[in-house]
Amino acid sequence: MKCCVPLTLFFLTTLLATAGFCQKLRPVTLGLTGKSLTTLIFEMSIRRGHFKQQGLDVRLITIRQSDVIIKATMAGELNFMSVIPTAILASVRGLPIRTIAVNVDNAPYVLVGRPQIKSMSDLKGKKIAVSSLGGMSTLVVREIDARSGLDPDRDVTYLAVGGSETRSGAMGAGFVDAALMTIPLNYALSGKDILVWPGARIMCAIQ
Amino acid sequence: MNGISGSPDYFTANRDLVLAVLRGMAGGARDVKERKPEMITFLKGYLEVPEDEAVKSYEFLVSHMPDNMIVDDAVIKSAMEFAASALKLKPDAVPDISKVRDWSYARAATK
Repeated sequence: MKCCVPLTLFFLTTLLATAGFCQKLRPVTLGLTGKSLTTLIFEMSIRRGHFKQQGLDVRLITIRQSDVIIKATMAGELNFMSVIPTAILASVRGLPIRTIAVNVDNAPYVLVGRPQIKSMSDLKGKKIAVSSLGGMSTLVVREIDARSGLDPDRDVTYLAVGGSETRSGAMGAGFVDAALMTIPLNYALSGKDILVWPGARIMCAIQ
Repeated sequence: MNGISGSPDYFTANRDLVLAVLRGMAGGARDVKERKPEMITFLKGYLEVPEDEAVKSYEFLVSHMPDNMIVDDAVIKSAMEFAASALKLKPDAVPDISKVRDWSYARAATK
């Protein structure tokens, strides 16, 4: 009888372990514009098995334009999205979109210009990289431009490039003259001809 | 700001799955807060930044992670006001905040 107890435990453990191993994970898609500081939480939830513990196979789907993510979510092609500013914009426009959780409550936007851009007025006739033309980032830049005396409809050209990481790449490659970025992509640029401008944070030059 | 949004119809029809996603996120958030050295090492490679920028980024991130994945309505209202102003919407055309955020899932997932 004594030897039956460990044997039973062995079979029970094996059975449970197999059931857990074979548990079918539910696929879940989450749209975002690219990796950033704030996506660290999703990465950790995946890498450390927290989603798996919940029976989920969460896949992060990168789509560069936030308004395309909104459309894909509304069409049922994505289950969730992580583009809160543009999601709020969509809700305010009357689209059936709800924000249900916030990981990070603040991520300051920073408009960064190339070295020859010494002031906001130097942006006249120049190209500015944004996430998507229908996204919140464009509205932010348009507001900054307007407060700085530029006509957002005539004086500058907005290029839908994608998330902060892609915008940084576009700046580095010289495709655009300025770009809206979030931390930490601005850290490497700080201290280089930083200009303070009204209505937002800082503007600084990239080498 | 970063977090989760989607279709309210989908959320209603898949409540259990939504709660599971939020519980998984809460686990990731807990790890981020409690494992500073590991996170800084990870951030260096993830964002391709040097150590000091990874440290600054980490400290910024942790200082802006709300408890229970819920922020004050003032934060959402501020974004709504900016959007309404930029879209040149009349005040009566701006939806109620209940059409913009729904914390009931976050509350249920973290209680």
